Amino acid sequence: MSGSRRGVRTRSNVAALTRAIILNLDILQIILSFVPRVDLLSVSCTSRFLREWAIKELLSRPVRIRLPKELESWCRFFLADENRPAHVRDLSIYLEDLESVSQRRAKLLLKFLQRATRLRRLFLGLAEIALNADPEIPSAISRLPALESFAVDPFCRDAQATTNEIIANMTSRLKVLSLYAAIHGGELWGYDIPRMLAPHREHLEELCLDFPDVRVLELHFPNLHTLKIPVNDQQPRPSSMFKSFPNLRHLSLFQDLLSYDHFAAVPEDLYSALRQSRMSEESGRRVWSSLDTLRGLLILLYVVGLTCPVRRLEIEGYSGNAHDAAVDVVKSTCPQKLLLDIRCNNPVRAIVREPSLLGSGSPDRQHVTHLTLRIRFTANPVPVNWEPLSDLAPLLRNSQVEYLRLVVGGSLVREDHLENELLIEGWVRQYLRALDLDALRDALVGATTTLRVLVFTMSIRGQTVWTVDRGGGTAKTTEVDPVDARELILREEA
Amino acid sequence: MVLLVTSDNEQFVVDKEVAERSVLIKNMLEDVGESDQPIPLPNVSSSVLKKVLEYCEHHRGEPLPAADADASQDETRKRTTDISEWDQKFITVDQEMLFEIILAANYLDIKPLLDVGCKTVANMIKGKTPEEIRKLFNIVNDFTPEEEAQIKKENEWAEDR
Repeated sequence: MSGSRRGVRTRSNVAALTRAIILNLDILQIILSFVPRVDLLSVSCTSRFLREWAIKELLSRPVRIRLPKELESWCRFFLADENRPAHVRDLSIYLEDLESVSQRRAKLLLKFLQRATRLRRLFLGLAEIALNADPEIPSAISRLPALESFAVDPFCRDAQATTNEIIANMTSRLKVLSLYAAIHGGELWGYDIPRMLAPHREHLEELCLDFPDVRVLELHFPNLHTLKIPVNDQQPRPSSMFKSFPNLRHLSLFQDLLSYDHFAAVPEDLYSALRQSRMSEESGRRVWSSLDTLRGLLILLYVVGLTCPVRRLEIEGYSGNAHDAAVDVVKSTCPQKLLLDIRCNNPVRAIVREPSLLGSGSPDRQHVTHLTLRIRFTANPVPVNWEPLSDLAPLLRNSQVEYLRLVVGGSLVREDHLENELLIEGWVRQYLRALDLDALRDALVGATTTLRVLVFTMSIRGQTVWTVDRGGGTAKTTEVDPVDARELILREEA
Repeated sequence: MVLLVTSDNEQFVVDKEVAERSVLIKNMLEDVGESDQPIPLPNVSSSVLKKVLEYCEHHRGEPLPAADADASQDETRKRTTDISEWDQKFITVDQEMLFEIILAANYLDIKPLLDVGCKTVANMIKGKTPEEIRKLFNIVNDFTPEEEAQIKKENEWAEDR
């Protein structure tokens, strides 16, 4: 590389460069995309040109409205210029008070919806507040020309009848639909599933239902790749889901929270019979050849008995006494990436009972290379001299894990609220504060020869990421810069 | 190795892997095939290219953003103006050099460097009043008093949440 020479720096140079930056719309838009909302408003007060672009950026961001006052202010802001509603792409309204929308506010919302020609995503929480505010609002939603994603979370069943008409009469074709059950009243599920979904079935790519409504299986969804649906002991079965959703890639199964706990009524010794019967239905290519993601409670994943290879398996509700079921699920799906969500409430039992969980059972089949353990300490009363994380090193021996992430906290651990002490039980707080992270890191790195990335995401302690270099016969760990670490985690867990 | 020629006719001999952090150079190399021909960079001066190559050298070997991943990945990356420690030190330069790096990163199509530069400018804007922003970027206030009154009212609506 040869040397270099700086030109003479003058005020006019800087001014010309500033103009070049601001007048380059590609660059200006990237800069504005990083500016917080409140500062965008300051930028918008500087000049006509910058106001135009700052407002465009502001309108392109998701709008979240929770208070009636916000609804009115935002509608006035949107409607202050006739072009603004057309820039809004993503709107969530989750008003918290059922009586909150006055006639004046309802008219403003209606006017906004009638002009929101490029609105792609709409979420209505406590949906009746918005839907009942003005009789024309449901049809205004039906006529939104660019709507692709619609989510409705009603308070009671009446709003579901309105939603049936909105979706059945929609001008646009939905790609994403989430229907939640009512939370008040006797009957909590009143969607007219076949009729409302029929116009959209060819276009739907993601569907989330809050109730195991088997009528959805009467339709064929050729492009649906993501399905979230509750499971009871009868339905839906993999073979019937395969018929309706032949191109599914991501499947999330969760407990049917609206009815009684079906699985509580099934004697545990019948779980394996249920699993065997599902598995026998899958012979002769009657399920998907593979899935990218399979997620759900351990007992549901076990009973559903899916046997196709899965790239990423997320098991919720693992506990040591259901270890054998977890082994069966892992062996029958051979995931490359495994997430175990563990409720750790028994101080005398290891967090994960045996290392057998991480092998596929055959050298020719896929082994787990990416392991995330989300460990929620819930033991009560407070254990004395418990060192739960010391159990983890044996888990890695003879495994082929390259990426290991420990997410550790109390029963309510949240990766985005690691610092919130209110979410952590007292003894867990003390335990994590005193934990020797370097010793734990060294024990885990020394337990396997394959580990190249180690992540600790811990309540109180924050997030630390190390890469492991094994050149020269010894394992050398290097801490990764926190910003680069986030990118690294995203890449590894993708 | 690749030979790059700047606007002030300085020549830089650079590892291909480093030069190809620039999508523009990568595409040019693909177009001309195996060749010793110098690659002219008429929009980049030697002092700026030296800085840009320092960045590319440091980030050599890191995965490049996928061309088709812009929309979804950008959405998750946006809103955070965090910059890694090394990048932070690298971009601690005077305003003239900062803007020149941004323009060069845009021209050379080096998205991660463009992001670092744009985040730095966004951080300069944070917490400033409109008048301070005008001064920072030599912006002329072209609003009429009536327009200013209207803007104040509208922005109160936007802030009211």
